[in-house]
Amino acid sequence: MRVSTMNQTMLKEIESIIRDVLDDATIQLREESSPMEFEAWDSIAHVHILVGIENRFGIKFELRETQQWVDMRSILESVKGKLEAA
Amino acid sequence: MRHLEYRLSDLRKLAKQGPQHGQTVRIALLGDSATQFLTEALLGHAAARGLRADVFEAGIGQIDSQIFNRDSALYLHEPDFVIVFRSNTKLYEDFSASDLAPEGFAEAQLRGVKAQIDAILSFRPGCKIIYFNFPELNDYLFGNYGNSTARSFIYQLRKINLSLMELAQTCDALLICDLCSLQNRYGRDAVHDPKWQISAGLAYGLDFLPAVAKHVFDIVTAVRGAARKCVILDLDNTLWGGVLDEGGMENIQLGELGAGKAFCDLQRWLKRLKQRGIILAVCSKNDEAIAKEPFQSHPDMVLRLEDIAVFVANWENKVDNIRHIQEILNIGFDSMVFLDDNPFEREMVAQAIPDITVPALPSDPVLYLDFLQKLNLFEVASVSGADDDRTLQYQQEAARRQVRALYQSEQAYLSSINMRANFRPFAPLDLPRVAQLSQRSNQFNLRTSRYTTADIERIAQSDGHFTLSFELSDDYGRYGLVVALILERNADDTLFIEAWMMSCRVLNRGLEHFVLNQLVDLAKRHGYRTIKGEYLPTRKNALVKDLYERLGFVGRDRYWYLSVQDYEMKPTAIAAE
Repeated sequence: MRVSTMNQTMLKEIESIIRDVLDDATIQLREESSPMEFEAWDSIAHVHILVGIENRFGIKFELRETQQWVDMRSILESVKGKLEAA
Repeated sequence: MRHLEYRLSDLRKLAKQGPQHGQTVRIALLGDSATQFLTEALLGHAAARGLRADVFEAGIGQIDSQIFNRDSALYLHEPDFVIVFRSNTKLYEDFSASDLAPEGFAEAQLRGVKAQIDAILSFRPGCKIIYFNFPELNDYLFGNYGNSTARSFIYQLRKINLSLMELAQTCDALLICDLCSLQNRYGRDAVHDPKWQISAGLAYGLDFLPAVAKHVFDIVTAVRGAARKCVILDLDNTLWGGVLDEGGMENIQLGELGAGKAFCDLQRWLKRLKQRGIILAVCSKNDEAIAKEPFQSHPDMVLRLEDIAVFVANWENKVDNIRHIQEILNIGFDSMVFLDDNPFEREMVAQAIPDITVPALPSDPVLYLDFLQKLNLFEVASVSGADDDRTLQYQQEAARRQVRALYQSEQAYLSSINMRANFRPFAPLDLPRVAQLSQRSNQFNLRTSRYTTADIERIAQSDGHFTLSFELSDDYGRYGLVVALILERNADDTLFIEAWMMSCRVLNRGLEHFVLNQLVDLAKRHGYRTIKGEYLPTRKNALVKDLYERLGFVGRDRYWYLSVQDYEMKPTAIAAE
């Protein structure tokens, strides 16, 4: 699968998780999207979203990598990195 | 009621929708870690059970500051339940940081706990405290040798957990939520999640919280009177292996060796449930004589015929049979559990009778017992000596019904069975039974106040109250203590009926006439001119909606009034003993 297509697929999966946690079916995610854009993304939602992503992809993030995320692209990089290492 | 296990995401959604109606439960949550996720899970469980939970969450680390300040937000919230959620990680930090000798840690902790309990109960008497115990955490400082020295954390932690149990045995209002047993069930890895602990301040893992919330609500609903009282048992492949037919008992699997052991283990647990007051009933598609034979003469059966309160074996459909059993026992479907290995039967019953609990037994019988225990179906808020007789009492009731069928009129029947009642103010031995009656009576209960044994003790000793309990017996057996009356002495020559509860087993006998006669007599003897009653409607007590009217009280505003002077003794087939 080409890199950008794989990114799109993963992005869609993460988008569905975020829509579910934030209870908003209209949310559109781009690679540049940042958590700060979403008003409902508070510290509780943050944990639910991260756990949702971990469960969906069958991975466990390390604490320090989660602290470095700024946008969706960085989240995608982490997910891919974990999947490749597995 | 079908769903007994939820995931956190389900609970979060349920919490958002919430029930719009349903009774409100006021809860306060105090913790030394981040409690928001537990609150979500609690709200979800409340919604799932049709309750509205009004949860006050104190900020992190405010346990003592809320508890010891009589004007705190905790008490302003007027909680029915105060949850104290202390984490094992914080406990370990305190242990490590303490300057005092480690051997004294548990004792010092318990002094602190007692002070907390005393403060809560003095500033908010009548609430219940749900205190979380501590999942075991072993730092392996001494390896297994930690068991041989009182200086180890594991020793002190276990001592704390044991001491909490001992404290709970002396204090009715204190209920322990056993997180330690839950960790045994779910495993340390589910409980200990360092990533979320460090980044979000969560004491225990997210996978663990739904189970914790479930157990909290198991306790809450038991305190509110929703205990399960009866297990209805299928026979083939549920109580024994294989199918019992005319071929004989030799074909079924039971015994201490092989596949039969799983069934004997299950029977042993059911027998212990019966001994602690749960009623067992059988509902089987079989010929009655054939179905009864193993109970009478199979050497490896643990359950015997006398353990079964109602034995139904025929070729009718199970839904009808279960309705018949419910009629005999006269308890709610929501207090019944139906065990059947056959998914088709289970589904049919669950759909026809939504209130009954139908566990989805795993297909391998060796897994039944563990599965059932994990569901925690039999939470209670108190136990009393009267529990032990319950099966015998229901068997006696079945005998009465057989005789009843022979009489043309209800009155002729009632006169024939020689009913006798004795009554007295609450005696020390009666206190647990009165408390239990208040917790379990739903139908004949005028105001549905729930009391603990300590509450009843206080009322029994109070100068501002009169109390009366009634025991009933007839030619077919003794019912024990079946009616409790709590009367509040009001200034204006009025006795207010603060509580009037009657066991559902003695309805339709005219006992309320006997009780009222004695109540009026008591009022007369003490110079009271008026008896005042109140009916508070609930989902289950429509039975007594018109009771005061039928008894001759006059309604005014929200209350009912009876003039003592004008009262004429009501007729009753019951004689005073």
